[in-house]
Amino acid sequence: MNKEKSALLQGTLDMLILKALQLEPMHGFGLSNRLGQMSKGVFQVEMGSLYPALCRLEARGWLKAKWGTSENNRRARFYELTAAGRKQLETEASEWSLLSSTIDAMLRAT
Amino acid sequence: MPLLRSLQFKLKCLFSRRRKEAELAEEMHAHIEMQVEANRAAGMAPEEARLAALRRLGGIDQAKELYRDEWSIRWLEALARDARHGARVLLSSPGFTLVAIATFALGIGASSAVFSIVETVLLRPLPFPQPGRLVDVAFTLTPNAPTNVPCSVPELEDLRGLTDVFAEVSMVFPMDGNLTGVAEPQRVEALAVSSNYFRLLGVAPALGRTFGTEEASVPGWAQGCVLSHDAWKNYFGGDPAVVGKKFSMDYDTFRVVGVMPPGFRHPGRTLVAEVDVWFTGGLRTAPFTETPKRDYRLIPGAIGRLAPGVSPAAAQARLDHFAARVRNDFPRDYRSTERWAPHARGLQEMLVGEVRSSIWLLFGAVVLVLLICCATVANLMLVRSIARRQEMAVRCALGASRSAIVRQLVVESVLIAAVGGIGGLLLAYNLPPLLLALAPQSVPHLNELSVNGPVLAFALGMSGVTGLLFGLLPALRASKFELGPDLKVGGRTGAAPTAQRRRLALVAAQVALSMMLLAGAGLLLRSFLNAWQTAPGFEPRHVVTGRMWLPPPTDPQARQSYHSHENRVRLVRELERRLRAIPGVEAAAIGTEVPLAGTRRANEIVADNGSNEAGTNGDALVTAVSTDYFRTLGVRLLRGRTFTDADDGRNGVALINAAAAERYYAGMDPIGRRVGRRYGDTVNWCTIVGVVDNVKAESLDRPDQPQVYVPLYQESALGLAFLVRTKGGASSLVSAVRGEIHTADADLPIYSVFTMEELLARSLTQRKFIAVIIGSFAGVSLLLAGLGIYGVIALTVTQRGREIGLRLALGASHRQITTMVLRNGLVIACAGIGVGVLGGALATLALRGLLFQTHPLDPLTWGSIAALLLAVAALACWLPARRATKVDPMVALRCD
Repeated sequence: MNKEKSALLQGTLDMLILKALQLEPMHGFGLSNRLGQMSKGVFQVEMGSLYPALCRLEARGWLKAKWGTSENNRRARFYELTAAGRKQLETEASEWSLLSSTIDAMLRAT
Repeated sequence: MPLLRSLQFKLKCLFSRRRKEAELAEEMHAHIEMQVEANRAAGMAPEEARLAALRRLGGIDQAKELYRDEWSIRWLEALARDARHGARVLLSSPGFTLVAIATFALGIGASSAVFSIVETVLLRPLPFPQPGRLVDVAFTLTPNAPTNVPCSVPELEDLRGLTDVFAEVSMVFPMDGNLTGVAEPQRVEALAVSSNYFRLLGVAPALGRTFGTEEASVPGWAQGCVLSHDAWKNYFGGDPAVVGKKFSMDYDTFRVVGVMPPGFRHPGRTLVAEVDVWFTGGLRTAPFTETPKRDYRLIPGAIGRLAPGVSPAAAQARLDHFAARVRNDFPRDYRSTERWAPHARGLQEMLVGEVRSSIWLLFGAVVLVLLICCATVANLMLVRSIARRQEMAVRCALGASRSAIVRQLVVESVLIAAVGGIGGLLLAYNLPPLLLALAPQSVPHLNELSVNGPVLAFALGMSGVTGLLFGLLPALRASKFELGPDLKVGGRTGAAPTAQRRRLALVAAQVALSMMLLAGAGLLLRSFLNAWQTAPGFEPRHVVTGRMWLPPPTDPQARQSYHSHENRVRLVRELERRLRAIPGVEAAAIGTEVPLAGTRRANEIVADNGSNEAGTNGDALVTAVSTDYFRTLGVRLLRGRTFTDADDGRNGVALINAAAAERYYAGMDPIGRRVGRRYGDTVNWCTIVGVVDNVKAESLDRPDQPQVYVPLYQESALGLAFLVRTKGGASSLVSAVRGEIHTADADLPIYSVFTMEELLARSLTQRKFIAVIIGSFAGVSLLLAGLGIYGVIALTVTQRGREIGLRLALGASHRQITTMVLRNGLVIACAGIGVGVLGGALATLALRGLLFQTHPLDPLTWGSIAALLLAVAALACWLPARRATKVDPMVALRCD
């Protein structure tokens, strides 16, 4: 499952990125690692999905981006949640749980 | 609002595209390096680490593209790209681009200039609050008489009492005023109004105040006057302390109480120029009677503001009702044969009514010119698209969709339209002064012409619409082609028959439109020439004329009181004597009016012609003249005699003109009979002693009106004109004439000094204006039509190169080739002329009101215009025909 690229809906990826950034700001590499970690290896996000998603979130005002230095003294762009982003994360998380529990129930029914 | 924010973000990114892309590249590079390091830390070898990283992270270029999709506005990018490419393409063929832009600029410029006239004169509302409620009040006496009559003081006061019709009514009485106490006595334009005039119009003064209770309660003319901005600047030096200043007008003392703001104009007719001074009074002293008399009608007209909620139709109905009641109540003052009636007409409509049809005609003509310009550019683009078939085919083969190609071509034509539109606006900016120089003065507001908001919007809108429309059609046409044959180099097989037909149709349409414009111009020109050549009834060369105003002071003790007839006669005799004595003068005369000086008001007359005992009622223009009047003007005497010095009023005499004799004394000798002038109840009878030839009184293109002349010594007036016939150049004697008049009385103002030839020319200004404008449009359209024919025939020759080469090789003579080409072109021209004649015949019905002694379907005009078009078409075909004969058969046959 490690190398398997599961299809993820755009909106879901956005939500997961917001979640991943909840604790602290991160750069792109760190973020993709964290996503892999949080999903226990299921989600391996490619650059082609990650960076467009980051741009989207930045455009909507849920992320803030700043250039900084990484642990290895490399210049990298760090992304941070904004207040609006935190609120959005809550909203989307509650929507998602409602959605997933409903679908679960429907699938379990005979 | 996230969507709004994302839009803002995208717009911001537009301007920092390159930076964003560089940043992303750096970011992704860093990301890859970090992954590689992580891989190496996990134990992989360097190349393996890099490969694994790249595989893990996916395609870089794809990532860049997907990223770009997020922040770019796709269609805007595509548009920008098309625009850049289009600009490059246009710049690479400067000839085509320049011609197309110039044509567009011409069309847009001319139509914007005319639209600014339409907007200024017709569309812009009067600059008063609620201008739609303002009406002009005029009075007629006989139901079918077109001329207006004045009204009396009681009638005016009745109108002011009709509160269910008018909120306010004010009289409007233009007068001459003589401003004295300055270096040279100045004739000013004065307007006597009711004291509520400024309240009616709703305009506040710039300095001081307008009329108040003090002015309203005076029986005669009140001392307080209001000045116009220009009068304040010109005669009072723009003195900011002018309020309260006293000045003398007609030897009476007046005082300035206010000054109106610049740009305020009286919305109506004046005697000569814009109003300088407004004054008011109680209308109970001279020239009015102390007790107002209902049938003493002196006030020329009035304006009013309708009461709130009253429509113009309802107002007129109530006025008719009121008129019937008044006629009933005062039978002594309103004869049963008359039907006195007031008429209320929208003020704006009345002001522009005369010129409205001319201006809309102008607009129609300029729209035709615009259409021709658009057709020309469309044609040029069609022709060009054929040359670019290969380019389009390659694009299509590389994957461009049809809509992408169409979009590209439309963007090109919009670029042309945009640049052409800017050029056109520049043209429109510079045209109005030229138009003003040509235009007749009677067009209201014309001096306020400017390129303003609505005009700009019109120009931009027209540019956009025409650019889109006439770019779309050629673009759609050009994007339809077959890949195979067109990809081949030198694919000249291009022109499908339908394309050729479309081009020919366009050119034929241009010719048709030109035909219509040319025919219109030709008819107008003919009318102008007819009017110009109409015999005025007198000899206009070497005659100088001017006007004087004998000021009547209200104060009877004032010196040189021209109140008395004797004083006036004495002045006239002295002036005649002095003017005749000037060396170089052949004859001199004084009269109340001169011919062709403007519109005149008719008087009621009674002709004692034996039809019934009271005589026939009618109207005629009445002029008081001195003895040498007819000799000075060169008017023929038909019967009887002219006036002599002995005709000083003891026995009332009069002269009539041939038109009066025909209308009222037909079949009898008028000499010895009487003609009377009616003033209210009284009739002033005079014996007719002679008949003179008809003289055009108002303008050359109006029919002869009945006229009656009386001797100046018998009845004099305050407004006089002088006529001086000289042996040689007329204008050189003007200063001598002024000198003599001032010697007679230094305070007489002299104004409106012209030679009779100048007056004649001025009376035809409006006709000349229209003819010149439409003529220039027609000239432009002719040029464009010629260019269109040339273009199409040239293309035909190029495309039929092989065929021509073949014919030449098979033995055709040069003449046969030339004939073939010419025939092609002339067929198009004839088709266009045919359609143009049909369309033009319909369009000239719109011209009917402006023509003079010219039939709308005048064969001479139409025939010569058609011949002109054919000649131009033949000329346009000549060059390509010559080129056709120079085709080398060997080259043509070998060429692919």
